[in-house]
Amino acid sequence: MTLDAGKILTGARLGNRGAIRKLIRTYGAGVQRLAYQLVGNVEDARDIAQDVFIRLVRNRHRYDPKRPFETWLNRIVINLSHDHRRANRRHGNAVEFVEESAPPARGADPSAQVEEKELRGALNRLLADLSPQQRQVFVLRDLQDCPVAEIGEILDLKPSTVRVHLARARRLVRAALTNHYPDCHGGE
Amino acid sequence: MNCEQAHDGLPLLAGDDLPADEARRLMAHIADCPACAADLASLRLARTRIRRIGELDRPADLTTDFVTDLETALLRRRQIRHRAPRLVFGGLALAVLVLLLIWRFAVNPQAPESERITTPVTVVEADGEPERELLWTEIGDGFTGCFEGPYRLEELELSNQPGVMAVMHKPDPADRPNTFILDYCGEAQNLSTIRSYPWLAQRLRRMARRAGDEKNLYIAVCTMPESSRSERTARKQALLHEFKPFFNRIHGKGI
Repeated sequence: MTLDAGKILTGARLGNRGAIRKLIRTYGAGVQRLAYQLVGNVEDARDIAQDVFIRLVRNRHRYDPKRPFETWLNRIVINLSHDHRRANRRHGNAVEFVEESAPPARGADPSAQVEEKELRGALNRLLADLSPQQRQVFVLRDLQDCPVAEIGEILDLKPSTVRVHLARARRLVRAALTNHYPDCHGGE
Repeated sequence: MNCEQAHDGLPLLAGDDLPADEARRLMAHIADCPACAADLASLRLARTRIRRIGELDRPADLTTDFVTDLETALLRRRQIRHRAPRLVFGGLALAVLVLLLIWRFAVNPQAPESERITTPVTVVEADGEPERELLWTEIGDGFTGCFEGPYRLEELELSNQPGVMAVMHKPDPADRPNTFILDYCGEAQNLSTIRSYPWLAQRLRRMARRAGDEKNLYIAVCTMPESSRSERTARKQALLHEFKPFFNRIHGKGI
């Protein structure tokens, strides 16, 4: 990270509009993207992203500058996304983890947009079949490119446990993906 | 190493996530095992495909609305928190409230719970279910007795106490002025801050549309000084159980 997250957070806490804007502009898209990959719904991801930043500023004192800021940030996103899905389930709402896909890039080719939407819907369905921890590990490793050790820190798991979840998730996703791409079928 | 032992390692090898020594042992097995080699190739292909799909995620980007809403919410919180005179008045108000509570529960414990309700209210369940009228003061075992209101939402200055709030509207203000439909129920550590929650602001707009007019939105508040979140949630859940408010059902989320 090139920015001093501690300074930005202090500024944001003190109501410095520039610091708040910098915080949101630096991390907002990433936060929203991770939340979206975890809950599979654009509007919910937006709500979660807002919660994340409010919590970030409110709990600034809990940030340990000796540790990577992104790890702390991702942990908040993961926790809030998990709470969100759990609350949805508790209130009997179907977890909206299916057809909805993120808005396509502006100016994109319409047929490519349809394909993007279809692919994203397929990924949402694959992820919906995973357990919460499998989904978190899978999203962090394969969609967010976090190293296993960092995932362990974010989720408070041993690296060996992260690997177990990751291996199972990859097998499940591969099996489900076979329906869309028959050439992915392997030696199951 | 045999195929069974290799089975758990292959998905990890597909993403280069195995420690080096384990990866070496597995690679030695794969060199002599076409089935495991095919499995590995398939897992690698699946991973590549998934990563490509993941790269398509460009959720909503950061629209001006999002940034503006968030900045406003964060700044408003800061203003509330750091405005010294407000703190002084808030402290005084809190002291008065504590004295009132002491008087209410210690000095005058016989006062009936329901006297805190300023209006006798009938709350109606609706939205796809047969309309069922429930008298606000008779619900559960008196838990709604702590609620004050309903007040017109736009007119109420919310206290900075923890508590539970219920937003409602009148389905038929002209003919049934004391009848309300409960739209949303939430709890907060500091009720005065709920207006700054950006998602609540959005939902209040939706609630106003549903109520037909912002002026037709009402709020009942149950302040619960020094309450824990679980205590507030229990009270909220009791309301949710009775009324199944529309906006809690569609968002599955309290405050």
